[in-house]
Amino acid sequence: MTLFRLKRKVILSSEAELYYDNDLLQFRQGTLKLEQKVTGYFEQWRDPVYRYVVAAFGNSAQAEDVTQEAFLQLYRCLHAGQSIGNARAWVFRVAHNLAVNQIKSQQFITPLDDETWAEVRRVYQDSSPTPEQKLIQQEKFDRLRIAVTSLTEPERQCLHLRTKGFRYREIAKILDMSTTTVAETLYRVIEKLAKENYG
Amino acid sequence: MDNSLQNGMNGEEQHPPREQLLLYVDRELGPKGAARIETHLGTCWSCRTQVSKIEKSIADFMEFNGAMFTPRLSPPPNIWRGFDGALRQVVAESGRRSLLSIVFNSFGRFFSRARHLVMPRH
Repeated sequence: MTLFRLKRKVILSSEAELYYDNDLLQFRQGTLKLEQKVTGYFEQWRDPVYRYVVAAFGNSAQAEDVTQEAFLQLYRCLHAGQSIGNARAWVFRVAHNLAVNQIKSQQFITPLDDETWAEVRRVYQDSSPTPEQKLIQQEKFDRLRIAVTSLTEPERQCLHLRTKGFRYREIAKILDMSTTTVAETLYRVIEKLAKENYG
Repeated sequence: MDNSLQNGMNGEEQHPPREQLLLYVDRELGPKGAARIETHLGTCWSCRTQVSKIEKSIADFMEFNGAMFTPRLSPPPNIWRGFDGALRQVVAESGRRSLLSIVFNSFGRFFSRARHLVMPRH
């Protein structure tokens, strides 16, 4: 009887270890896989997200932190088992919301202030064949810079998200507005850009 | 976003609202709405000019953005150096909680199985 109990005890404890080891293995493999997945997303999307935050909210040193935090939140949510259909739009949305909370209170600083713009114009390698065409091109860029600087915050946000290839419904989700508002906003942007170009 | 074109009093087709032309350019209209605009553009030089202006404005901005704006955005101050460490920390924090639940789950399953082994089956 004692031998039977001892034998049973050995079987039971080794089974518990087996369960624990299997779960731990699966957990470690899953965590590693998820970590690699998020790192892959980060390497793929960090620059567009960062550029969006800088372009839409100003040239803030916080843009890098905001971008990184959006990807860390992606890890946390995926790890918690949340289902995320469109991870790219999700990251942009989180980065946008973080930027709204952290950066919005500060004044928007245009990435192209007068000094920077003068330097950009100086070093820009224009492929125009003649000096006249080069001058025309530079004047066009000057007008576009004025147009871009005149955009309101929602207009800047919609424009830069659209340049990242998002559909109107995705932009609407990211910015928490209706699709109709996105359409109207983008139309105003195009009007402003066209006005500077065509008068 | 699928408004239809309306016919005028004299039966002449009216121009679509200009906003619709941007939706058309951006492929945001449904098949019916897009087909109506397409048909209208086939006959209306004025609206085709508007569409050209919209496309030209987009092309000009993208050229400006690609050539002058985007490359000059200042790079991230820390060049993403902090991310790997921050992610490892998040993984460790998330892992600790889950590991605990795994231990509980494992023992739960173990005791459930053990009960079957110890308890004689009828």
